[in-house]
Amino acid sequence: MNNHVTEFISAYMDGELSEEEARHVEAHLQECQSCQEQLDDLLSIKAQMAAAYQSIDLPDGIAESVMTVIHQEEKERTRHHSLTKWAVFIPVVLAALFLLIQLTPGFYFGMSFASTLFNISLSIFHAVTVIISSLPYVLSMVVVIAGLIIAISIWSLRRLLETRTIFDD
Amino acid sequence: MDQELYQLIQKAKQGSQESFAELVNRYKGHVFRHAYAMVNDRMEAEDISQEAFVKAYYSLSKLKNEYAFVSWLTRIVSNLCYDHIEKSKKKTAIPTEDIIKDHSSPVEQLQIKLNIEEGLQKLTAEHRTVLILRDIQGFSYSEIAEILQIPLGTVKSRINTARQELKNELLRGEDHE
Repeated sequence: MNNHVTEFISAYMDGELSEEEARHVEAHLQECQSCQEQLDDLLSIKAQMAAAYQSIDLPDGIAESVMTVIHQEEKERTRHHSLTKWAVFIPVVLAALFLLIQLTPGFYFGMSFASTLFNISLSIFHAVTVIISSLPYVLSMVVVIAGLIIAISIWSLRRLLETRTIFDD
Repeated sequence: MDQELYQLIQKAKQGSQESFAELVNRYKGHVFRHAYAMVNDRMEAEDISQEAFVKAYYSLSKLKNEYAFVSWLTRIVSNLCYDHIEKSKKKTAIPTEDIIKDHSSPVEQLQIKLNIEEGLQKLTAEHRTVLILRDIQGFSYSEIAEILQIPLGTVKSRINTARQELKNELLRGEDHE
């Protein structure tokens, strides 16, 4: 017999075919020994599957262990939540502290004085660098003058030492 | 779905641990059976079941339709099974300590069980899943399509192929005896 219904057998035995498809399969099964045997085999396997697993014993205490895990998790989450709640206050406390310091008169005066000094030093440094970079010979002149000063200093120091030696004698 | 179950799910959704514990008691068999049939190891199946319920508890607020609770829970356990299988990728031994309730001859039933379990473990995780959902859990094809988020046609062909493969595995097992 041609046109076996092998691919429809599972759906047929599960009642998942349309009426027309089911009628077609039934008509074929009445005439085809091989497809009928296939149907019997699959029906037997289906029954064995259900029987084997429906009879399995459940482990004790699944519900208890699930609820224990949930209780612990909830506790942990509550603790974490309260920590997070406190963490929100940290920036608020820091901001309050900063404001307090800012509003203290002595601190404010000290801070503005230091800031002015710093600004002046910065301006002087900036002016010096601008002068040095605009005049090409300034740097070499400074080096020569510095060298002269060092030489004169060494010469005077030696003279002084010699004078001390004369006094010692 | 009965009204009582609907209310239970609603209360659990609003944060009632008591109602959720009741849901766990109702569905622990459903969840454990699925996990056990997938991984074939009682301890691992127990871990997966616990993980599935804890995950369900924390994502229950995202469940839009209370009537879809069972499908939704099955999707959670199914995905966790895939994750565990991916992680372990190891062959599990057939546990011998499983106790089987008496329906017919214990020896005969043990034989069937071992054959089916062995055969089922030879299938791919996808084929195993559709057979479990259909033959053990009793979901319809459209429900399976919804749970696994695959087209209905794929469910149809996958179940047919999976049964055929399981049959081949069982026949192969008989040949070795």
